[in-house]
Amino acid sequence: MDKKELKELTVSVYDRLNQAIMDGDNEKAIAMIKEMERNKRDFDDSYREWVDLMLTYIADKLGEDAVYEVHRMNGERSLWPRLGWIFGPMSIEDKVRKRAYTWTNWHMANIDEIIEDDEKFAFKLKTCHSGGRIRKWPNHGRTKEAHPWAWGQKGVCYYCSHCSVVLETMGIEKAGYPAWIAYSGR
Amino acid sequence: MSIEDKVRKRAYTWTNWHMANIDEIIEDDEKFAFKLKTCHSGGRIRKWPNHGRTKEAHPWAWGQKGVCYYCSHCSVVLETMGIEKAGYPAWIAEQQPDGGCIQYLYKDPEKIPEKYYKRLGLQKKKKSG
Repeated sequence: MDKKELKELTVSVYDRLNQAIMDGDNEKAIAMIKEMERNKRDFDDSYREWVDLMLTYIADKLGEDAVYEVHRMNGERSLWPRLGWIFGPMSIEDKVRKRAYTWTNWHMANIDEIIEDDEKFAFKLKTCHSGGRIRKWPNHGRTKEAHPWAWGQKGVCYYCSHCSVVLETMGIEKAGYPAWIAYSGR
Repeated sequence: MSIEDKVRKRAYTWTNWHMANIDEIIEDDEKFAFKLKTCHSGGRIRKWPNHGRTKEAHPWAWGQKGVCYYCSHCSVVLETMGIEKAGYPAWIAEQQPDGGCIQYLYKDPEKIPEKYYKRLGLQKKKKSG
């Protein structure tokens, strides 16, 4: 193959997007952003499939409570270091801004609505770009029994129960109250 | 698909799906080598001091002990399952220190060295005739 082409094939879409912007080629940049979004969704879905598969396998082989144990370990290792700010010294407005950011800039998805009332802020997601995409698959893994670590309900998506375990149960253990509360409206 | 198109599509999975640069693609008479100083799949995991790794040598993890569990998906899926499906590995991974990896895509599967089958506990089938 042509050496120049082999060199060009090594360049990431980020670097090519930067270059398109620097060149003022808006049309190319917009097309690349659309392509990046398609690929990011597919990439994330591939890892969701993997996590869903592993959690289902763990539940089947070791029993459903093993899923709870994995969520706790993942909470301590991965999620609390990234989300622990929620219990930090910060105004509620800044918490809303940071929580919104995790959806818009980390999951890179739109929030359908943020509604404020006298008591709370509600983040409405027609499709949750974390577990909601899994719950659209007909054969995803879900609890066969009701467990306190999965909102006391049967039929909860194993993946989604990380919110119950990490943000709610572990939040209460850490700060006396849940970091935030999920209502799936299944 | 031509080998050139396979190289283009394999490169695309790194640059547009993992969204990472490939450090170099080198062609020789037999193969293309994709060089990654840090593999933006399992290489990032191998940089963590406490990542999970095999305690014993298994044919599903290149016959080696101490293989990152995550990385062993390449051994299982692209190599062993590739051989089951097509008779040869889809591509071949050679892990490098510090999260690096070199992945080989052979132009002619017949030229894939036997050692890459043996490390999976498999035998390369000789072409009949």
